Amino acid sequence: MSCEHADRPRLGSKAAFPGRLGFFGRMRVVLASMWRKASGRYSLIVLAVWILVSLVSRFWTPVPIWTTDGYRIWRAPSRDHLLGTDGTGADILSWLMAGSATNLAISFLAVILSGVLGLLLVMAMVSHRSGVSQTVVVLVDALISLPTVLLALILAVPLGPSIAVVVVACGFGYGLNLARIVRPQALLAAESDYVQSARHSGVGSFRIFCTHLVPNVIPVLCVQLSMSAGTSVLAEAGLTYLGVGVPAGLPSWGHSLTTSVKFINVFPLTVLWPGLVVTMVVVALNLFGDALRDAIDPVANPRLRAAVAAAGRSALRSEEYQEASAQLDDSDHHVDNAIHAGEGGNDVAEY
Amino acid sequence: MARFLMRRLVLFLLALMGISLLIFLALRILPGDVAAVMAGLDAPPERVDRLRRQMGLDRSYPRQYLDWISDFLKGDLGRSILTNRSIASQVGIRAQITFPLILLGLGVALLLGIPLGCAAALARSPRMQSFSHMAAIVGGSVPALWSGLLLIMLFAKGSGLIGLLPSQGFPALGWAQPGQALSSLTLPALSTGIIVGAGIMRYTRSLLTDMLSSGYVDMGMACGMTRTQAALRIGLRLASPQLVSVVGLTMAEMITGVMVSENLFALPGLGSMLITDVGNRDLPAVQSELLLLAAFFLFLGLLVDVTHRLIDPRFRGAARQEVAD
Amino acid sequence: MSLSIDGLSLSINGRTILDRVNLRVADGQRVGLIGSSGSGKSMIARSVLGTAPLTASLSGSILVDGLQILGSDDRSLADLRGSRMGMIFQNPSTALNPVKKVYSQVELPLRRHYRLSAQERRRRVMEILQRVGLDADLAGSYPHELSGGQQQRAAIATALVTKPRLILADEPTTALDAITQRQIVDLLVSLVDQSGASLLFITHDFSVLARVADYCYILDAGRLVESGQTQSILRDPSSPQGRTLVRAARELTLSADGGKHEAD
Repeated sequence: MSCEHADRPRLGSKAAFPGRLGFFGRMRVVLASMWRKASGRYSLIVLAVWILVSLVSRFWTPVPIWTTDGYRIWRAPSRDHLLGTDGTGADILSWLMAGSATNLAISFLAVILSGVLGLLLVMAMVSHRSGVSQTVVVLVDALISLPTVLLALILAVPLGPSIAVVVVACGFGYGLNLARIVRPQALLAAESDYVQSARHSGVGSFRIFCTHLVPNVIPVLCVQLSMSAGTSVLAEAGLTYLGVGVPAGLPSWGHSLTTSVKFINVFPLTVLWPGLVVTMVVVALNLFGDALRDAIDPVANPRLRAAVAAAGRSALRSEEYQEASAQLDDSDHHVDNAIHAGEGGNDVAEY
Repeated sequence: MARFLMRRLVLFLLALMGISLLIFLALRILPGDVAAVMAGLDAPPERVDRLRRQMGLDRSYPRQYLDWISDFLKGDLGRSILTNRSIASQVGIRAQITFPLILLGLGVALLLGIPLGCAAALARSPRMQSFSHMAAIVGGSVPALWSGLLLIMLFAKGSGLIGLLPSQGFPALGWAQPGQALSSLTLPALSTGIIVGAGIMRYTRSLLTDMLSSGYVDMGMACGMTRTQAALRIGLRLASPQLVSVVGLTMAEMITGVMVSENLFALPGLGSMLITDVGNRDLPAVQSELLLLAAFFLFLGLLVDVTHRLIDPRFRGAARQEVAD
Repeated sequence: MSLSIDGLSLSINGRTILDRVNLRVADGQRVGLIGSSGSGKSMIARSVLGTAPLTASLSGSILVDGLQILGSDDRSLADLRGSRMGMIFQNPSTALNPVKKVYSQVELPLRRHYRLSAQERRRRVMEILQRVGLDADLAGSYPHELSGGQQQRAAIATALVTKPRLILADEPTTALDAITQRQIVDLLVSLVDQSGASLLFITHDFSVLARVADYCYILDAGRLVESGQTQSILRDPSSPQGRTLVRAARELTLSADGGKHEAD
């Protein structure tokens, strides 16, 4: 898996993320860089809307989600119910909106869990005690072929359908995946001279891992975690439909999709909306990771490099940043090429 | 190779044992008294006790585990608590739907994914390249349920726009009516195959794009192949080990889609059986079925690893050197 | 076979790689093309073969024996590649097909271009293997079982098995150690001499070039900066890039080698 970033010799975390430009300054440059590309812009907009709707739906939905009406069930869309009503007479649009908060929480938790698990596994994999590292590598290889749904089912028997089932099943599966994909790059960094010299000067393993290895795998982490968030949305839909995901009574996109199945004989067009929402969000999450990777990496993003350099040189001559980024307009194309060339490797790394 | 095979086999058995323990423990230690739940909400305690005895839950855990595993290895998967039917025979009957469905879905995925992925990698215009890239991402982002619904809306007999294919159930006589059986599996297979195919397309494209910039394809062209010939005969061949891994892992992820399809299209396959049994908390059935499923996928992983080795010449070289040493 | 490149420009996604390059190789002549890495010299060879990346846009003219390469379709170019034009790559370990044995690799151009009986193909493959100095029993080996030098010999055999009239060699010695380098260069020169083919030899190393070509071009950042007799450029390079390359060759080459050139 020749990934553009892997081939390039990286400097230590200090060089890759020098500290002069503050966090917010850096964020601004990163977001601006993402915004410059259509795919980045799309993903930012969709994700912002997702978060916004999740927040709003906590306080307001067009119709309160618990309002039911036994006389108006399975109604086609109307002025009162823009997407119609379900089998209890509840408003479908409101449930769809309220579901976004549940899915946001599931994705967030699954990503955190898989990130933590994945990094712990990677830490064991690059451990210089070969017994530990080999055992973990072999373990991950053996377990990676187990489908998410299997774990979900194992958990669902004692727990019943619950958010925890979805989160743990996804987090576990994606964590293994993450470990397998990040390992080559982490190994590369672990064998580099700066890690060796840090180790010789007596820096602890955990510290080395946090300060040197993690920053080096951040680009892959971005892509992988963002994609995991997308996959967890799809997994939630599937598991909930199968009755082992989000329990009945809690709004989620899986429930909205399941409800839409029954709409097929009532008003087929309504079937489209929940699925469309899910697809758009998952596409956005897929694109978000790629865009973030390109923007966050000072090696691939000349704009960020220029901003960091300008901030580092002096705060007195702030016009220099503009100058630097103006010059970089030219070389941007070239970097885009490099990224596209490297993209192949990263795509493959997804598995 | 032999040494690798041995090590991988031991690993397979160890993993299977680990999973069986996990299944066993999860079904017992995690909260929720299975017998109480199965007996019903207001069941008298003696009924719960009887059920517990019947399910063997009164024996010690190691005893239960060993009984279960030794029966399992002998091919006796136990009997369902609810229907008292042999689980093995049920699995046998239902596998006749699920396995053809998986194979058909995989066939659709490969037939779509690999040619389209190659075409995308060989596309000349940047516009075409980014279009195919986006198409693959969007295709892979569709929930299985939704793709099934869309296909029903388009092609289902009766309710679809173009009524072509049945969308509910499986012929009562099964494969004795091959035409009907196949047509009832077509829409479910398409609905999972298209999504998985989009994923495979994405990997094929990126693997082949990497290969196109490699010296191997250049060398093929320098020997007199056209770019397309070199990409397909050399590039695709050299990418095949990774492609096998991707397809293997994709198959594992496909199983959720297959289960969803079985439910949506009312196919009495393994997936819907498992879901029903989980819903009923039919403990003996669930634990044997889950272990069977785990064994299947762990074996698939083993198969993928071995195939990967067999078709990757570098490993072949390593094996040769091992012998020479 | 003569090669004549006129005003060749090449850009990839708006970035200029080659800028109006003019270059000529007369029939039977051995010409060197020298430049530092990243100067675009490999891209010239790939353009001549018609194997430039899909995203590259080319303009200008490349005539091979009067035949226009630019704009020709891939099929007719493929007919030229491996029959009348042979190419040797920098790194044989990333060029020789790793799943094919040496024999079928060397046989490939014959299979693609000629209808020959199996015996005839075998005779020709074994003959060229012997001429490049590979033992007959290595024909049944996979590339990764060979040493770097043996791999490059197999690659040369593949390029020459059809007796092409124009040979492009893209840094064929860079991936090899110093002693093997010398052997491979001498082998290539003698084989090209015997066949009377034209040779475009691409390198970044003057000390190698001086053994191969009597005329050479210097490429820098996609532009030709100097051309002339190799010996006169070696004695007195007029461009700054030429001076850098000559100085590098003098410093890097061992005294015996460098001394010999100075004495010439």
